[in-house]
Amino acid sequence: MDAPGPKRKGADLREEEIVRYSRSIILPEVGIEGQGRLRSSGALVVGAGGVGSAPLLYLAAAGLGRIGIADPDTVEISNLQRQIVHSAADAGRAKVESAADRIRSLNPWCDVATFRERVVASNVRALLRGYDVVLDGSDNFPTRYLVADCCWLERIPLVSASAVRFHGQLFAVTPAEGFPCHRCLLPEPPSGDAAESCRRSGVFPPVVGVMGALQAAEALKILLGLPSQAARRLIDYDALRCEFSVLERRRDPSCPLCGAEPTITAPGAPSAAKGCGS
Amino acid sequence: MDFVDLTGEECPMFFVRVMLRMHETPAGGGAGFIVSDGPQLRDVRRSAEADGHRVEPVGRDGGRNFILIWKDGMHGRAGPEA
Repeated sequence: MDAPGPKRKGADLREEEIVRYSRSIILPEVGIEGQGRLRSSGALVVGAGGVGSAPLLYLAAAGLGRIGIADPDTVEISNLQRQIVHSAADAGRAKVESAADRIRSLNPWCDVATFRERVVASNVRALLRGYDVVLDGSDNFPTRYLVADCCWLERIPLVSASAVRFHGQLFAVTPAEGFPCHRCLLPEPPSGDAAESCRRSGVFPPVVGVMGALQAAEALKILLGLPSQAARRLIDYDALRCEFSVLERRRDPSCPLCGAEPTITAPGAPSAAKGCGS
Repeated sequence: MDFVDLTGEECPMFFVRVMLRMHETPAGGGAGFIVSDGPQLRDVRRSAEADGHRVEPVGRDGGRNFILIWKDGMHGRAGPEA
């Protein structure tokens, strides 16, 4: 998108953008250069549900130049308890279209691409390529592992967040020397009872917002070139106790994805498992 | 030298205006600003000095203060044109 308006010399930000982002620009960690970097960056958000809602809004508000949204589902009334990017008037619409309209109304400078499709092995590379960071808020483990595997193989930073009941988890994967991948901690997706969905278990509405906001923060930090401590940690949020706990993650030399002799060299096919969009 | 009039700007925009102008100013160069008495003058001075710049008052007209900010603390040879 190339919205009209005079450009500022040097920073290449228009007057309206300077005013809009002024409270970011004055942060030394952002500055004019960082704001310009955000403007020229793109993020793909997988899942426009509960977890995905907050980062979609924050990334757009923060001035990201391009946002891609991938989600095959439509908005249901039962989603609105936590999926704040959608409104009641959007019931029945494709989530990607509902979210895209909300983003455009929030920030017309943001270029939004929509992908109303499930992320599967045959399309994952094409979906992810061209983006500078991927935020996964999908609702099932097969998709999560597929997206994370592909991000690693394509060398695209990933920030993954999830929420169920009163708990949320967050981690990042930055494909750099010495950093662990997602499979270093859990080589295979959980199955059975461990892979519970929020349709069965429920989810406390603000938990998805907390995790989504953290996810947006880490993604923006990565794009700004700031260190993401989540790349070496798993952050667990317990809303009932109002506690965060941190698990240090380390690279596993025998990891099937990033180890010395990897057995996963291409994104695999996810199962047909389907959750509820958190 | 042109002076950027910050007297009508609210916080944080006057900080951003200074930041932008200093971003465009080469090392060792200076930029002129007009700031209001009181908090704006104090805050712009503190912010610029915190960024390593040198602030030089060059005039005053009622409640309007004319200041030069020298990038990276280097004091240029040329003074204000006005």
